[in-house]
Amino acid sequence: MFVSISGWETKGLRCPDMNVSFEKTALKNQINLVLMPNGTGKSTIIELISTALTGNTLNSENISSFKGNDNLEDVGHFILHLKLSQEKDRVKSITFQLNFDFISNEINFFTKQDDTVGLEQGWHAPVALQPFLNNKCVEVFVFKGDKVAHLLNKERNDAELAIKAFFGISKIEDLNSSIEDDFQSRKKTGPQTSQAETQRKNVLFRWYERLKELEEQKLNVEKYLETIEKEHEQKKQRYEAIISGQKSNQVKLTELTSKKNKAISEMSSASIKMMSAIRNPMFISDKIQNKLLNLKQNLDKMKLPGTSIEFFHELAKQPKCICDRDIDKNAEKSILLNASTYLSDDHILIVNGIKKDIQTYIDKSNDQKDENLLDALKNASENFIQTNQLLMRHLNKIKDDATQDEKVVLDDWEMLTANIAKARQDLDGLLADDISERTASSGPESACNSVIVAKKVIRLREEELAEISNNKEDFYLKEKLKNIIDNTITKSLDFISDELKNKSNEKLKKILVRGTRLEILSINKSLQIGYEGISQKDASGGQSVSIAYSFATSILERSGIQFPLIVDHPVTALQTSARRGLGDNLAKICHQFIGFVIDTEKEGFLPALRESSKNLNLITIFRPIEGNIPYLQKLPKDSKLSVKTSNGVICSDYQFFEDFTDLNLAEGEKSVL
Amino acid sequence: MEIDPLIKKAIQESCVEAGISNCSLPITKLIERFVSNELQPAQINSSLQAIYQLMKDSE
Repeated sequence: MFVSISGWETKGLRCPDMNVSFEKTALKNQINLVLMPNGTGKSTIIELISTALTGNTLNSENISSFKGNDNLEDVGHFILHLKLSQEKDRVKSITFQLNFDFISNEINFFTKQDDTVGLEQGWHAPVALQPFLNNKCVEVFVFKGDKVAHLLNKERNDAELAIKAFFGISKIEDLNSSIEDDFQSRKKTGPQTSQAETQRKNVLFRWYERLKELEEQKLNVEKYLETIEKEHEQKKQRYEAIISGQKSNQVKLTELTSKKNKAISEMSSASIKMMSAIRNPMFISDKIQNKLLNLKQNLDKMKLPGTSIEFFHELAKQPKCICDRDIDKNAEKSILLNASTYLSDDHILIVNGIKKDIQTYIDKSNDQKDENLLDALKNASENFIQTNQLLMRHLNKIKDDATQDEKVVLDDWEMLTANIAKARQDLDGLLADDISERTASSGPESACNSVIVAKKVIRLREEELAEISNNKEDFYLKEKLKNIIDNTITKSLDFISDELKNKSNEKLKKILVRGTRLEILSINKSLQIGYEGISQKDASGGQSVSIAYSFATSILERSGIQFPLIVDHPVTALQTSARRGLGDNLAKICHQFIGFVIDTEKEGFLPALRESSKNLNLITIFRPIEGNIPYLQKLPKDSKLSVKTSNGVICSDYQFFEDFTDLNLAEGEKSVL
Repeated sequence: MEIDPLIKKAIQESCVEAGISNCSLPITKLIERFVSNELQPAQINSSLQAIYQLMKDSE
């Protein structure tokens, strides 16, 4: 099924009132560029499209921020028109309308299922689309902010989340909770329990409560992180503009940031090695090493018996001894009594195990000492402190060279960056798997601060409880089924990732300059890139965009529902040649593309699109402010090509689009219409 | 909603590895209906009971 956006209407919102239609050309293989100078409301429209597609309302603070500055009424609306088509079926229309009430800060959703029926209250997506119209899926085809970088960032799992959302794998993950709930509900209806069982149940209950607390903490941190990351992205453009305005400072900042990242990576590697080493007590103290070596030497001297206690126990049960003498009751008693002076098979194994372990750890600690781990960690830490100090000093210099307004932006950016780092650290802690369930289980549940460890302790405690209650069989069946579901999820991700990798690489070959040695090597949480098995850390801006678009469109194709690709600033980071390459091939990789651009993105991109795309729509939207008078005067005479509203001009003339240059005027200037 | 053929393949392989290949179809149906939000808790319970019984029969 193909889902296309045929247009939208806005009134009273944080963007000009407009009625945009893409129906001028066929909707298939359609490329649309919407040129809007900064501050005209590109992000607002993209946010509105996402909200209309998911039916998820915004929080009241967000709703109030959507009100247009010049809106004297307390209402506004956004209408999104979609066309749904299948190869042989007729085209179906669907419209989602969002009515904003700025007094109660609410959005009321309405749906129009077809042109022949009226508006119906509520958000009612067609059944076939419902599994895909949620935040996670919509994020796959609506590119906002740093989406491209996020898909390739090894520290993030955006690519995996996209696959999970589009193929219903996130929902399969929820099945394990339902299996668990079902097991718990059946357990409650079981027979009377013993005191030991009640005690264990109480302990288990406390762990369930702790897990609930930790999961709530995790959810809160994730939500907070999402909010501040969004804010960070929104402010990025302003921050980068300030930095790029200070040319000499910008070069040094890039250099110092790269040095700091390298120092962090070296320090992280040295601390991992050190952490692993200090788990070995012999590495810490020579005294311990010597004592243990002494113990080993003594154990080596100890002559372990060739036979074990088990041999004599078996012998005592025989009617005759190996020397053919009869074993009567007295002989049996005597053998059993003397057997206790021999070690059992288990004891012999333990002694041999101790000897082997001491030797292994002595060898390991000698290797670790040879590596001078402590010095390496000390050097890495000192290097990090020095680099960080230089970077901080330079950031202060940037602030000194900035205007008062710019300083506010820089401070804000710094605070947001620090908050993001802290939130990520908190999240890592909540997802740490750094302590065994047996160790955690022996302490109080309040000391456990990881969701993963708490889950493992619960699994252990449940198993113990099942052993002493009559739930043993049910417990193991439930665990076996949960393992099958987990295994299914892992395998599904592997199979789908592998197929998507191949499909994306086929598309990439079409987009990248012939002979470019770059492909997706694997999809493991993020998109891992390289060539012929050799991984590559980074790609150029153009290559990264090509990889991300190929991946997103491959997911859409594979899922059977082809949504349009909606992109904010599609080619900002690209050089002219890369823009040309992307423009030449965009129509080949997606069935509808809507790119929100500024005037500087036309270079290279527009000529290529003009040559390669038959169904091209070029729309210019700007505010009719004083500085834009030259453009108002240049509007085409054909009234069908441009529409003026009280706070906006929407022009679909190609030449006008081509000639339009942003005069960078401040938003809020008085309208001249 | 029918689940992706690659997910079906994954279910089948997981069941074979767990030694309960006869459960592959009912587990596929359970996942399909669960993903489509077609199941009430009582229906999940009865589907699970049927799968557990099949698992026991396989042992």
